[in-house]
Amino acid sequence: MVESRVYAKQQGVPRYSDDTWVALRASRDGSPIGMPWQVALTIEGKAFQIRQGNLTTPVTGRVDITDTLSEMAAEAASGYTLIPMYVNCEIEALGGTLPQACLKSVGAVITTLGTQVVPMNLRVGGPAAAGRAAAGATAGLVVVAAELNTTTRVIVSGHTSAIGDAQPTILDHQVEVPHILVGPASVYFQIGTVTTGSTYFAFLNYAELLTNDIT
Amino acid sequence: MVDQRVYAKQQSAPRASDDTWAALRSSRDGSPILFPWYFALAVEGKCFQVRLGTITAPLTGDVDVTDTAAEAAAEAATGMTILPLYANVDIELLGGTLPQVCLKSVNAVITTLGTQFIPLNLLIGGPAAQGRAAVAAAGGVAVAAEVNTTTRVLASGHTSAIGDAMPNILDQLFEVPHVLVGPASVYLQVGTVTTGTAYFGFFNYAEIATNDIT
Repeated sequence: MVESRVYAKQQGVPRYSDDTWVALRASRDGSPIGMPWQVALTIEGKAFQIRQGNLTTPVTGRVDITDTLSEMAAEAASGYTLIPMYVNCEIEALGGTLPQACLKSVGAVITTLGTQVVPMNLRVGGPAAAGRAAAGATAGLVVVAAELNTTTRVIVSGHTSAIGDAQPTILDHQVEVPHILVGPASVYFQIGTVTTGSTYFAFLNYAELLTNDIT
Repeated sequence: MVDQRVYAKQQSAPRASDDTWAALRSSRDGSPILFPWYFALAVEGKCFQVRLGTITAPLTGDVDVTDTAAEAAAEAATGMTILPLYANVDIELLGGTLPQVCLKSVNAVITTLGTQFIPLNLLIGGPAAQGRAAVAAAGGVAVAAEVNTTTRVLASGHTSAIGDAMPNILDQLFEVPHVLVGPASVYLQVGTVTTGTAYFGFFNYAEIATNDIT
């Protein structure tokens, strides 16, 4: 019989250097204190963000969502795997009615970039992403593979009826059951409104890993 | 008595190969870094998606939810167990009034498939699911009759109109999963009073050999 002990430490916590063995930290009731894996990835510089719109300049979305047209996308090049982690989209001004937004993935790279953007590492000063990304183009000018029930997976989908609603943040989704996008693959965001495009702000966070390190 | 020590490693973490012993990784304050089990299942290729409707082509739901009529279902064959993980349904266009959506499970396989659907592995390039799945609008997938003693409810939601604040009628991660030891199935129902509602939907689930989980 081996009894396992952890190290109760709630206050004055020491921080060691990498590559040292340290006591397994716990609360005073002996519960191990865990760091979420997604947080560790971010600290390591493996999490990125692409975004649409900046302050006072929202982007105008599509007049209804149309198959291969998306607003922004990030791709896993061959040899890399992406894991979408969080997406947020808020409507700034309703263009028509019934805005819809969705995040999807497909096993193909971006067809036409539109405007290429450099993904921002969520760790300031972190390395650049290996895969390409596109955003900034209004009205769905990032072209992706056609949507099929047999190849396109849905990460999240949302509708709202009007800007006057209690929930004009149309998407606010932490991905808990991730898509494992083994490259070549991509994740893409679509938004559309009936009759007239809505203006919106949006961003997407994702992790990028070498495929050999994760699958 | 063993004092548990972990390996502080925040930067340039090594990735070992399978079938090797690796140090228990931690932050620099000694907090172990935890890999969520749902992530591990997805990476292993054991998570699948059944989806309803594609871009510009939503499905039309049933006129009221009716006992054995479902819009989609996935089943655990004998020897397999499935765990529903997440479900999402959003209304594209209200047909009548009072749309209702529910996800339920029952210890019986799908009665009538309607249209068979090949579940999408959430790992691109991952293996096929062992169990069957089906999608058919307007309650075209037949499942076992709902009985309080055999049918479990995963989630249930109503909304009064498309003008509601939350036309996303279902958006739920299952923190308390149903463990559907085959033969069993999980199924989605969508219904509206008077006229069927147009909607998009999908659910994600894990499939594991029963001997590996129960």
